[in-house]
Amino acid sequence: MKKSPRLALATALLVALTGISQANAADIIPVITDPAGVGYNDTTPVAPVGGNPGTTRGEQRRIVAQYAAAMWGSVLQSDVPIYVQARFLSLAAGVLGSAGATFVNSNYPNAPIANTWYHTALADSRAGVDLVPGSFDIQSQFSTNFTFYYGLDGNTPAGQVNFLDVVMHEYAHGLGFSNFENEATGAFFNGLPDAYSWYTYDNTAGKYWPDMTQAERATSGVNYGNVVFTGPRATAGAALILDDRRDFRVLAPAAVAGNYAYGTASFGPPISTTNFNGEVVLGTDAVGTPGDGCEAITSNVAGKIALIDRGTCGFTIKVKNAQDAGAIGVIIADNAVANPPPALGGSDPSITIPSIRVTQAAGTSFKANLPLTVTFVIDPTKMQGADDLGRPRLFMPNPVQSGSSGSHYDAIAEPNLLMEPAINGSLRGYYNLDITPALLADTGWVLNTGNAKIGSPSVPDCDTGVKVSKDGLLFAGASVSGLNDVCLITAQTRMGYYNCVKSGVDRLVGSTLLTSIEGSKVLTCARRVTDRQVFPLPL
Amino acid sequence: MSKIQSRSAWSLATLAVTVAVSGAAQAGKPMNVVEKKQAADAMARAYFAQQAAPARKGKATATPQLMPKGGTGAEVPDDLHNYLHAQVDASGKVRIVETDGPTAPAQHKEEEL
Repeated sequence: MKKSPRLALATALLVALTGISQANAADIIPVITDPAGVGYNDTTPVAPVGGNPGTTRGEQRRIVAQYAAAMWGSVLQSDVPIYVQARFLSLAAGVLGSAGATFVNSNYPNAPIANTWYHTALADSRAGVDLVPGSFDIQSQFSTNFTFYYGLDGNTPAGQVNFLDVVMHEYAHGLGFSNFENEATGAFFNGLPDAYSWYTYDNTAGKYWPDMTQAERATSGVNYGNVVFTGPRATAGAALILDDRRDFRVLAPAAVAGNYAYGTASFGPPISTTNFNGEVVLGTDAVGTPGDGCEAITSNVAGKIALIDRGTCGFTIKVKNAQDAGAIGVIIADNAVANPPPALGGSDPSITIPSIRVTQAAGTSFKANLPLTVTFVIDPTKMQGADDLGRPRLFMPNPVQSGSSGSHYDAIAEPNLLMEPAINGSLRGYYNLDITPALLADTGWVLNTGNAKIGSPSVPDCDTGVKVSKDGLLFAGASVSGLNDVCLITAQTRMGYYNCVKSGVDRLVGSTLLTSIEGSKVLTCARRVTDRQVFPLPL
Repeated sequence: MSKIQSRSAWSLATLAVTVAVSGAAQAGKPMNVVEKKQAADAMARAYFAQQAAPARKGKATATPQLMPKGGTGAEVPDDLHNYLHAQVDASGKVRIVETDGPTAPAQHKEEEL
């Protein structure tokens, strides 16, 4: 019988959990390679923001990088330091930055699966040695031409991007949350599968990616909604975090009955099970292309949901015209191939009815079967962003979105996940890593499950009593580790260090990430450092 | 010359620095923040030495090569790194999207029409 590589990996992980139980939290070390005055060394004075005590732009950037490194280092185990090249460059307009593993390794000592690529940081941790000594393990670069929010509190102002969320996301890619497959062609990097792909499963084909031909993988790479990550830890984590599934369902006629993918609107009320039910009819106007809804709707849509084609004018115009004609909702049928249906952009505060977007194919089918009866349903037996077996879906849009396809959770997941393809303001990377570490564990990483230990050169390893992760989802202890490192490197005095930790603890207790008892335990460790450590540290 | 070969040449040229990095790595497990800073500084010096070394001029390659400490390694080409792009819609909302390599993504279809 052919031995399953996934079974081999699971066995190896069990051995690892017992065999290297003495392994330490990983040392993840950002290495600044910016010249003086630039990027991480930018000396522009700024005011401390959102728990980031830095007083220059460069210092705030370094603090965020250090915080992220300490958090991921607290979560993962490795005896081999992980070096991350960190720099800011003037990048092209619209480009924020890039990141990724610098090397991949296969068939190294203690590799869980033979003939399989591993991100070099993960390979190092499994081998117990630096397989590419003297080289960075992860490369990261960000743009000097973009205004990030450098706070550590998640309170990102509108119109800005949270740098910590971005760094946490990108470090995860560099650590192991990505494949090395070309989704457009189906080709594996240098002909070998990677650890991530061994768990990438296509429900339609009934195959894992390494078991497919290249052509089959190319087909799978655009099989939106039907490709999942089957790792047991990611699956277990999904059950803890994902909301009940919300389906858009056609009830009648029978010819088109079923669930359909949809995109939501940035205007109007959120979709609910109570505001999007009823009969669907065509919304037409009397000018130009009748089905585009760009002028006053003349068909009878009162009390009904209007089906309108995309094109010619803005979505808000179409929906507002339908609303003015008495419609209770709108379905926009796409005019181009895209699956999943993208969101409806725009803004109009006068719109009070809900609207969604469906694929071009669904729209064509709907129009051939009008009138429809539709509804939104909550299915408590299924999860939003997972398949019917509870396995988290991977983002496989059609057409391929290079860089987004494959190496992310599906954007349909609710709540939003750190490793969805779009980084948005709802993330809280300073403590909520959701099921990202679980997936990394499936690919071979060993996670720290004990308490976070903080300290200083003079007071090593003070046990805070705070678990690195709570329920495997909220990483309270990891956040405390990040906080401690930031306070150590920025404090000029003992009390400066203590007050920095206390301020951060107060913030974490205030957000209920820590209980007051846990906060007190962290401060006990901070007092120990305050008593014995000389500040500033010789950095 | 492959990049891994060039890295070997560079490693010889910066052996002392690399040893310093390793030494820092062994100073404590896990390292404290001072040890991490020392390791980072040593690595940065090695990087800048690498940039200045003639061997660096060798063409990079993603071709797998046998690694001195076991197994096979290959450099991940830039076009397999995740690139972040910012797109701002008409309402001022910033959306971050990723691509493989620096090629700008198609405008996200959270468009207005």
